[in-house]
Amino acid sequence: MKLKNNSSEIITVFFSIIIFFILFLNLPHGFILGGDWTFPFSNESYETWTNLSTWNSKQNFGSSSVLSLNALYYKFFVEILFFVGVPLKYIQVSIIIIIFILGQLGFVLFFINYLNTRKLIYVILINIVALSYIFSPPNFNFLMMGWILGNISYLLYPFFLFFLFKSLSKQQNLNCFFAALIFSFSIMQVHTIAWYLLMSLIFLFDTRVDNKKLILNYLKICLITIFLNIHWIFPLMLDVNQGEQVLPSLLYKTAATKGMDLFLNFNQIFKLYGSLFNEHYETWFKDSFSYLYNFLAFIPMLILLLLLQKNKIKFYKLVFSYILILAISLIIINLNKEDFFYTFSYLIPFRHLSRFIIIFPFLFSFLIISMIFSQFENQKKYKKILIFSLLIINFLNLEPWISNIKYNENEKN
Amino acid sequence: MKKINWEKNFKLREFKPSNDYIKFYEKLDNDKDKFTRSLYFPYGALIFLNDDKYFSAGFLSIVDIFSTFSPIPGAISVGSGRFTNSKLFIEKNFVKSSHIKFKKNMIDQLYTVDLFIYRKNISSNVKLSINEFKNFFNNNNKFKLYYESENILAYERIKKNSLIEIIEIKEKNLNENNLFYKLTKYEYSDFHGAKDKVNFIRTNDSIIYIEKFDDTAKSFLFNESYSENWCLLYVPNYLKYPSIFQNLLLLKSYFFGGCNKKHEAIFSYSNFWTLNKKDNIVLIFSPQIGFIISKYIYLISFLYLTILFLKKKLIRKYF
Repeated sequence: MKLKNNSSEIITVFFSIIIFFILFLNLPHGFILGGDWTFPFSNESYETWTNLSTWNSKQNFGSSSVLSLNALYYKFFVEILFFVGVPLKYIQVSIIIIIFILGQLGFVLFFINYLNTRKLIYVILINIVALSYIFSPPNFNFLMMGWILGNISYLLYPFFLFFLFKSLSKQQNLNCFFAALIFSFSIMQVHTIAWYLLMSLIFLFDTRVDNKKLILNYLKICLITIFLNIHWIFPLMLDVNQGEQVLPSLLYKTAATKGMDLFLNFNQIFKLYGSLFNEHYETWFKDSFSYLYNFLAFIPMLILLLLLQKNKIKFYKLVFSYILILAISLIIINLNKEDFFYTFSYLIPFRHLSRFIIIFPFLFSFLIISMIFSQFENQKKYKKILIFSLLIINFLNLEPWISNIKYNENEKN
Repeated sequence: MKKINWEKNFKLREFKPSNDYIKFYEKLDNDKDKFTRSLYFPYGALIFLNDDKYFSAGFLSIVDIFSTFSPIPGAISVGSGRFTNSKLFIEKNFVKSSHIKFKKNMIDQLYTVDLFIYRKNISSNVKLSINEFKNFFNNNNKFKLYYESENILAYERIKKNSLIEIIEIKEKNLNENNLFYKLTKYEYSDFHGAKDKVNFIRTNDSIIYIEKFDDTAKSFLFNESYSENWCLLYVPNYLKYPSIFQNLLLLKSYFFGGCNKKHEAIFSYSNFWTLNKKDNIVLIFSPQIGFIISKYIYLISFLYLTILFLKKKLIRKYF
């Protein structure tokens, strides 16, 4: 029994090492800049960057920087790395590698606990799906643009869910606290509030889950999260411009808001694409696989539907319906975006709708693993073939991460 | 032939800072108490590095980290000016929908800028050549060369203005309801020579302490963007205590003493107060009070949880 437990841990560490090498070998080894990436490039600029204050004298003869205080935990994380001796130029790469490995570990831990299995074959399969979860198209696009806080939020979600579910069975307060800690770290990307809620909501319909307890613990986590964020909430309460800071009244009309969601459509959602106007992942995927790229993205969906059709567990069908409802809602809101945000002005912080595509990879990964778990030992051979096809095709998502994450020497003219 | 949309042809890129930038930053850091503000040319939220093909044009732009993280404040970016009342000034003189050509007379209007820096290897939408920049300062006896290297040229103002000054303006003269009129009614240059510098200690961007000043004038000028959130407090004995108690004194003065209400906007973007007292003055950006309170709450909670944890451990061990 002990050997079995160790095997699943060893295999998970083995996959962590794969992730480490994929990133270590492919990421630039130095300061990453361009797009929206920012990072101090010398010790003096680092001193300036770490300064936390409600007023920022650096720009435009000074301006309020109350909302920038929500980067406290990120800055703290960077300062720890700097303190333990990581050279400034390697801190960005270190953070990327750490959060990606945390993403994989959280994903594996959550599913092992959720499905209550430690069977080696399942741990291997969960790890394979974890690879396609962390190396997903929206995550690639966020990383390219320098939206590292979005990457952090996305990759920490499985850990959040792990602690949320743990809190339902044991050490309620402690697990809620850990979940709130992750929520607080992730909330630096403001979309997290909506992302985490939308990704977690579906579990209310899971018959294996105590709904009442789930809601109560989620609320508890939210309250602890508010407490862990008083460092920017209190300053905001004392700011005379608090309304304009949180809900800038005209932002829903800007060119950036309008342009960002130009490519948000069903086609993109079901390929898990279009998380950004810039479509970096899509460009490289198409470049590598030519016309095949459309099939590579849609075949997994068809396989999922085939597997779902015969599945006896209603909840999984419900998850698929939920994905459809979310997709349809996103498209409808996008079609009437200006009116929608004019009417629901308190939702303006979430105005870039295409960023919501980042919630789909988790829901699809959940379905894939659920199909594997409920049908892998089914006697029918064709289902096993379908499951393996599903995994292999999803595995191809890694291609842009390996071939196109950075420019090779002399590649750009 | 395969058609690729070049704007999407995008990968991560490594930035290698040149040695002269590193050295320049070291020098700036050493001299930071000497200067109030700098201005980096060419400015703009996004810039290009002419000598690095990965950051050189089109979509390959870079956020201007040089001016944003400068030891001496110096960034101009209209995109980040949503919460500042200097926005009007920036839109009028620097950039609104398009960039406004920088003119020599601006150098006098930028009275708190005492260091003008030109980055030779950088371009942005601002069209100002190195020769035009040099012409502003050559044969200008108010400036001298501060630094010159392969990529950087910087001039410093010889007679520097100060972040905080004392000036004689009657309060009733500023008694306008409209913020725009308050900001534009007077020009800083009209009061040239009629101001006195004040020594101060800046704990961080949001807190400034002035022990005392001897001057007959009663008007207090703070040359950063006007904001209603800026609060002038009187905090006796502030310097006598360590910082943890200084913050308690700030809270006491803020909640029991309150801010000086005679606070107005002046000189395009600055703050102006009429004073009652001339010692133990603290300028604080009001939201910072919330930040201080949160730090105390975190500290108390941490101590409480640590004691609780230790108590539990000890009880388990001995009982």
